[in-house]
Amino acid sequence: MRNTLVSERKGLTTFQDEIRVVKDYLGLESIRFEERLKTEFDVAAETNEFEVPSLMIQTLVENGIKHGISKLTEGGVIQLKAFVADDKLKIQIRNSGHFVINGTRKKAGGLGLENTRHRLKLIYGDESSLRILNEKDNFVLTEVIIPHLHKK
Amino acid sequence: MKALIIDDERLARKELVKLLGEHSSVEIAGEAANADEAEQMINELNPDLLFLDIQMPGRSGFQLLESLDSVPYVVFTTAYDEFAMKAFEVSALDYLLKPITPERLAEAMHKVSDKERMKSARTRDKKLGLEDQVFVKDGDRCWFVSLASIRLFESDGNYIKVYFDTNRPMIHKSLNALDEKLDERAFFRASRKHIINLSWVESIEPWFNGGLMVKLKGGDKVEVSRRQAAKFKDMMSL
Repeated sequence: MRNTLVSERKGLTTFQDEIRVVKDYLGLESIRFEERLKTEFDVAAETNEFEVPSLMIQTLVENGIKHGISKLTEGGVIQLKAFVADDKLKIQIRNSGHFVINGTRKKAGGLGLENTRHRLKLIYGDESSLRILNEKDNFVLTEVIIPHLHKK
Repeated sequence: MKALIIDDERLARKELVKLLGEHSSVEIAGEAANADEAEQMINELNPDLLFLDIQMPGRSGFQLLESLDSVPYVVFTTAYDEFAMKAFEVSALDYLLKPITPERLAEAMHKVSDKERMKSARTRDKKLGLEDQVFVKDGDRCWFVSLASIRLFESDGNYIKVYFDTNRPMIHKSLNALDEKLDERAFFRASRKHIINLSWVESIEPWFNGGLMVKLKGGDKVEVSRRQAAKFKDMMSL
């Protein structure tokens, strides 16, 4: 948590640190969901030094748990894959479940995603992107593309 | 009282089981991890009280309640306060926010036992005793008959034959439903087919298979099944 407070000021964190936060977070959720939650990581080493908005990936993973895993009686899988393509950081989060496209936009539904989009745009402009889509029959893919900040 | 714990998280159930260990009035009849499991267990175990999580995979706690024919007392347990209004609408007894503290749980159990006391007091008041009169209609004839003069109720298909004086009008009712309305100190369920008025009993003889044969004033004889005979001895002995 101290970690969180310090990084808050910068707004950005290394991808390596962000992944550590995500793993800590999933560790906690694993205690909660027990055998209903499986996690898989596939993170390429060259992604480590990319700078990403802190807690952004964690938020997206949390979405996957909240809307995906927690709705499934048998639970499911969260997969996180990160690699560099075209000199950009590509992060793919997959979770079991179904993405309901704007299903019912009531209450705070969709606000978190909207905020994340804004944040990306403010920091990276149009070079970044975020998309969420249904993949195969029962997987939701969340994909974030983040450019190298230093090169600009 | 029998309680059922319904929560999709095993550790949350475990915690509640531990907390309920302090409350000897509650016997935990079972645990369910989702609404479907719970519905089945409710039908089998007939619990008096549900500790019910709201957000669960599949059907929610509210949807579970909607599908039940008779709803036990409900205490919601949830991590969110946003469902409190809805919980109020479905007349939940209490709404516990996780993490549940022992003090808060004790409060909830107080509400449950208060409710239970009120209910049993009410049902006792409502029961029909010998001094009450009931309206009986059969075809064109009506009676307003004192229960004291009814010596026997006999089930006959979907009807009950009511024995008093020389009349035997039929009423459309099940013997079970009637049994629940009658004061058990005045009327006794002798068997699947009969309820007798205890003040009309003239003599009792031991009968086959551990049953009893009861002779009523006026000559009607009613056999008391073995099971009910045991209960009869229990209730009527000094």
